[in-house]
Amino acid sequence: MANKKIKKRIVWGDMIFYICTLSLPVLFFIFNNFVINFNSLIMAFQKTNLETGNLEFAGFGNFADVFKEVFTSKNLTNALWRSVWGYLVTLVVTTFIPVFFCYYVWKKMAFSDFFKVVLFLPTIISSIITMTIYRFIANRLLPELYLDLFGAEILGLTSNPSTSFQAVLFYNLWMSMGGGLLVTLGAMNAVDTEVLESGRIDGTNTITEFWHIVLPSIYRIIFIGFIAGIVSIFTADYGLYGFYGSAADPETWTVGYYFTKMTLEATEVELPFYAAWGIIVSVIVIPVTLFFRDLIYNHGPSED
Amino acid sequence: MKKILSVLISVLLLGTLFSAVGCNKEEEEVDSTKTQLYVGNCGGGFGEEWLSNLIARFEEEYKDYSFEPGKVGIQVWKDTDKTKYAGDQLETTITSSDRDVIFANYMSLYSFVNEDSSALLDITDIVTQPLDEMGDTGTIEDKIQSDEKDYFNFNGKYYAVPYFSGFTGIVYDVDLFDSKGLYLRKDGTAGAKLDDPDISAGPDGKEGTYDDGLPATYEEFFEMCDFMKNTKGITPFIWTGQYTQAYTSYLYEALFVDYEGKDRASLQYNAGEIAGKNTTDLITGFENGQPVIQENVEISRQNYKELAKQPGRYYALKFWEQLIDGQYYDNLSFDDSESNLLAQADFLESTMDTDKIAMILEGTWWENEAEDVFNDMVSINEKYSKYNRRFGFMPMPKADESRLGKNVLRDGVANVVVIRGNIEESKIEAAKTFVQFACTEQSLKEITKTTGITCALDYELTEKELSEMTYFCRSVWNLQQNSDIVYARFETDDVETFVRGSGYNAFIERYSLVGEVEETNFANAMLYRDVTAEQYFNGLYDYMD
Amino acid sequence: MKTVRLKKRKIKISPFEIICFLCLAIYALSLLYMYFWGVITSLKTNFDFRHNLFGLPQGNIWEWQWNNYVVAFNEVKVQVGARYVYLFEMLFNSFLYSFLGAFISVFCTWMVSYVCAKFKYKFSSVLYKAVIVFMIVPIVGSLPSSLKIYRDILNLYDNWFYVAISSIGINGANMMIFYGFFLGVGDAYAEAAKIDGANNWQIMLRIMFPITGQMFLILFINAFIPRWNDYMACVIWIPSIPTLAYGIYKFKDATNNVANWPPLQITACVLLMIPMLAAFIALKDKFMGNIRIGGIKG
Repeated sequence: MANKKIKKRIVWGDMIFYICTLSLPVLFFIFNNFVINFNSLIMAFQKTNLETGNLEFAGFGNFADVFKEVFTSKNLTNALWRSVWGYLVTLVVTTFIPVFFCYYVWKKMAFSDFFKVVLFLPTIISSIITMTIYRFIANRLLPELYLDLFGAEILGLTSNPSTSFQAVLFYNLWMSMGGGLLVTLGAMNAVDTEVLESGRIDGTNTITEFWHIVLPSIYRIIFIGFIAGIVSIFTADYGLYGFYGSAADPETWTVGYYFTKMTLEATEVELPFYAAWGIIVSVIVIPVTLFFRDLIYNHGPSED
Repeated sequence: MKKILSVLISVLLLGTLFSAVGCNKEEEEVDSTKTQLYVGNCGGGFGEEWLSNLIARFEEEYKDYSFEPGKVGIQVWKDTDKTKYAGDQLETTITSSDRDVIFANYMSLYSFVNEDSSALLDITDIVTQPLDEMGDTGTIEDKIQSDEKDYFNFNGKYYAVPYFSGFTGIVYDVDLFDSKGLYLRKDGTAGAKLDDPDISAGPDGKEGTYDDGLPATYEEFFEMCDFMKNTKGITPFIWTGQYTQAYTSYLYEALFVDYEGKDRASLQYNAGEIAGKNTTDLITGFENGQPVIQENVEISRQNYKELAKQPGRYYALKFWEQLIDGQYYDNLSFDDSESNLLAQADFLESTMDTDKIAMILEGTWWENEAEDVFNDMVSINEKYSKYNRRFGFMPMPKADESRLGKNVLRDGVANVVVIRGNIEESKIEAAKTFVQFACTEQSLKEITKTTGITCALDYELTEKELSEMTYFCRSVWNLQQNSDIVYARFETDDVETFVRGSGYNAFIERYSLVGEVEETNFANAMLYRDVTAEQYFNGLYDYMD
Repeated sequence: MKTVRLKKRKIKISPFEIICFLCLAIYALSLLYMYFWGVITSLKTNFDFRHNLFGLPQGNIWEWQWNNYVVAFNEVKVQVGARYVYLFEMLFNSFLYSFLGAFISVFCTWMVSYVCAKFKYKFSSVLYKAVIVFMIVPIVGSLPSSLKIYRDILNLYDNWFYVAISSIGINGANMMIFYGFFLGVGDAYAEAAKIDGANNWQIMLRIMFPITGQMFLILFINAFIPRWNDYMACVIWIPSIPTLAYGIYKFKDATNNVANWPPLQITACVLLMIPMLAAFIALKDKFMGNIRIGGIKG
C-alpha cells in the first residue's frame, strides 16, 4: 500500500514536471501552427463592410478575387513564370553542382579545408552585405569591364529591368552554392565505410564510387532541396526586397516578392484577400510536396 | 598555436570595430550661464555652413544680452538632418521635438495651423514689427512676396516665414558650352560661342540678355543635343539613377510650369481658389497624334482633378520622349547605384576626361552638395574650384516659337522657418529674436553669398556682392530676377494628397496603367517599355477615370 | 619509397578531381574577390573609387582612407520616431535579438525533446508526430494572419516581447536531432541521480543539459547566425528595434550627403562583417560543427 502511494506520488511529480516543461512550448506551437493558420482560413472567408467597418462572411469572394487577379494581372502571371524559372535554375545549380563540391571536400582532396571555409562564408556573412557589394559590382565593375573588353556600353545589370532578374538570380546562385555544404558533408560522413572499402578492393575509380556508392546514400539529402524548393516557387523573393526594397521593377517580381510586398502594403481591408491567396497556394503546394516526398523516399535508388 | 592565432585575429578584428567607436565626435560643452536655444535645419542641399555662420553672428551680437533672468548671452545648438525636418515627419514629431526653431522643407502649413493644432507658435508680432533695432528697414512682412502673403496669413496671424527658395532644372557647363561652341546661332543651328555675334537671342527672345545662345525652343534644344552627341562626342545629360523618379520630375516640372505660366501652373496648389486666376486649357483627346485642346476651362475644388489634363504636362512628356529616344543621356542615369552625389561628381570630373558631360538635372543647391568633389578637384588643380569654373542654370526652352518670353520657375522646396508651439516660455524671446535676425537683409545676403542659394524673401544684392559669388549663383540670381515664380505650397490636404501621390510632387508620378504594366516613372516607361508621351498621358486619363 | 609515393599520387589525380578543383577554385576565388574588393573599396576616397574601380587604394597604406571606418560608425543610423539609433545600439539590438531568439528557440526544443523522449506518455508521441508533420507540410501565406494577430489583436508588434514570444515553440529539425540523441541516452544517469535525491528539474538541467552541451551550442550557433544576418524580420516586425543588418539595409539607400557615397556604404558593410567574422575565426569548429549532426540526420 505504502509502495503504491509512493509510486503514485512519483508519477504525479513526473506529470507536473511534464506539464510544466511542455505547457509553454506546446501552447506556442499550437498558437503558431494551428491558431494562426486557422485564423488565416477564417480571414480568407471574410470581407470588411466598408460602410459599417465590420467583418462579414464573404463566401468564396476572396478566392474568386485571387483567381481573377491571377488571370488578369500580367505582373502576377509574369511573376509566376519567373518564379518557376528561378526554381528550376536554382534547383539545378544549387542542388546538384554543390554535391560534386562536397564530394571533393569529403574526399579531402587538395585544398579541401580551404574550400570548406570559403564556401561557408556566405552563410555567416549577412546577405545584405553581399547584396550591397554585388550591386556595385553588377552596376559599376561589370559594365566597366564590358566596355574595356568589347568597347560597348551596357546599362547596370541590376538597374536595367531586362537584366535585373537574371542578375539577382545569379547573385542567389553565386551565394548559395555552398549553402548545403555542411548538411551534404554530414550525409557523406554517414556513408557505410565497409561499402566504400569493398568498393576500393573491387577497384572502383572516383567516378564510380561517387555514382554508385556515395550518391545513392545521400540522394535523400539532395532531394530535400528539391522538395523544399517547391514551396519556394510561391515564397522565394530571391533577395529582391534586399536589393530594391518595395520598389522593385514589376519585370523583376517573383510570386514570393509580390506576396510579401502586397501584404506589407495592404490595409486591414485588403488582408483577407492575401489570406485567401495563402490558402490557395497551400492547397496546391501541400499535395505536390507530399507526393514528391513519397516518391523520393519510397521509390528512390539504392546502393549497388 | 592555431587556436591562439585565431583568438588573436578575432581580437584584432573586434579592436578595429571598437577603435571606430573611440573616435567619436567631440562634443561642445553647455554653458549654463547662457540661454540655450536649439535649432533644427532641413539639411540636404542647403548644407549647414550658412547656419553655423548665422549662429556665430547671432551669438556674438547677443553675447551681453539677457534673454532670461540670471543668464547672459546665448548658446545656439544646431541639428541638420534631411528627413527629420521635412513637413511629413514634423507633422507627427514637432510637439515632441527638442528643437525650438526649425528651418523646414515641404511644409504645408494647413496641416500645422488649424483649429485643433498648436504645433507652431504665433509669431505675428515679430513678422509685423519693424526690424530697425537690428539695423534693418521695414518688417519681415514687407519682405514676403506679395503673392505669398495670403498663404502665410491666417486670419491676420503669422505662424511661419518663407525662407529658402529651391529651383530645379538644367545645370549646364558654361565653360564647355563656350569652348566647344555648343550655343545656338540665330539660324537655329548649334556651333556658336558666347562672343559670337551671330549668337541666338535665347528663350526670352531678346538679344543681349542673360540667356543668349541658349535653346529657345524644344526643336533648338534637341538640335543642340544632337550636335553635342554626334558632332562633338559629348554626352548631353546625366542625372542620378538612384533617384530617377525625383530628378526626372525636376525637369518635367520645370517644363510644365514654364509652359503653363505662373497662374495656370499654380492651380495645382490652390485648386482654383483664387478668383480671376482659375481657368486653364485642357487636352480632351488626340487626333492624328495631335492634342485636341479645350480652352479656358474653369477650375474649382469640384473639378481640380481635371488639371491632370493640362497641355503643359503633355508637352513636358513629349520633351522627355525626345530626350530618351535620342539617347541624349549617360547610361549611369538609369543605374540605381548612381546617387545624386555620384552624378554630380561624374558631371564635374568629366572636364578632366575625354568623355565630357554638358548638362545635369539638378536643384539650385547642387554646388553645396558637390563641395567634396570640388575640393577633390582643387587638390589636383586650383582651376577646378567652383569660383573658377562657370556653370549656368538654364531657362526652359519653349514648346514652340509662339511661346517665347518670360521664364517661369518653380520653387519646389516649400521651405519655412517656424518656432515650435510648445516652446518653453523662457525661451520664446530668444527664439523670436533669432528668427528676426535670420530674416534681416544682412543675414539673407550672407546666406546667399555662403550657399549661393536664394531666399524666398525680398532683398537686394549689389554688383560687388554678386561678384563675390560663384558664376552659377549669379546665374540663378539673374534667372530668378527675370522669372515668374510658382511656389509649391499646397492649400489643402485633399489637393496635396492628389497632387503628391506616392511620390514627390507631380501628377505624373502617380501610378499609371501603360499597356498592362504598372509604371511609376515616365522616363523608365519610355526607356524600357517604349511608351510614348501620348500613351503615358492617356494612361493618366485612365487613372483619372 | 619516393617513387612509390609519386606513383600513388599519379593514380589519385583523376580528370574528375581536376575539373572539380578548377570549378571550386574559380568559385572560391570569385567569392573571395568580392570580399577583397569590398575591403579595398572601403579604404578609398570617393574620387579614387570613381577613377580606380579595380585597383588598390591610392597612396601608401597609411594614406588609405582608414577614416572611412570612423565616419561610417557615426553615419550608420536608423531614424526611429524623432531620434536616431546609431551603430552601437544596433550592435546591442543585433546581439540581444539573435541571442534571445536563438536561445529561447533552441532551449524550448531541447526541453520538449528531452521530456518527450524520457516520459513515455501518449501525448509525447502525439506531439513528436505533430511537430514532424508540421515540419514536412508546407503551409504558406500565413503572414496576413500573423500580422493581424500579433499586430492588431495581441499588440505585440514592434517590441522586445515579440522577439521573445515569437521564438517560443518547437523547431522540427532540431527536435529530430535532440529527440534521437535522448533516445540513445540510457536511464542510468537519471536513476543514479534520483537515488541521490535529485528531482526532475535537476536531472534535466544539471545532468542532461551538460551532456548535450556541445550539440546545444552548435544548434544555438546555427540559429544565431541567420538571426544576426536577418533584416526582413526588422522590416516586417520590429522596425523600431533596428539591428545591424537592418541598419545596412537602410544605409545602402541613405540620402544623407555624407553617407551617400559607395566607399562609405561598403565600409559600413565591412564593419558589419567584423563581429561575425571574429566569432567565426575564434569558434570555427563550433560554427562548422553540424557536419557531425548532419551525419546523424542523414
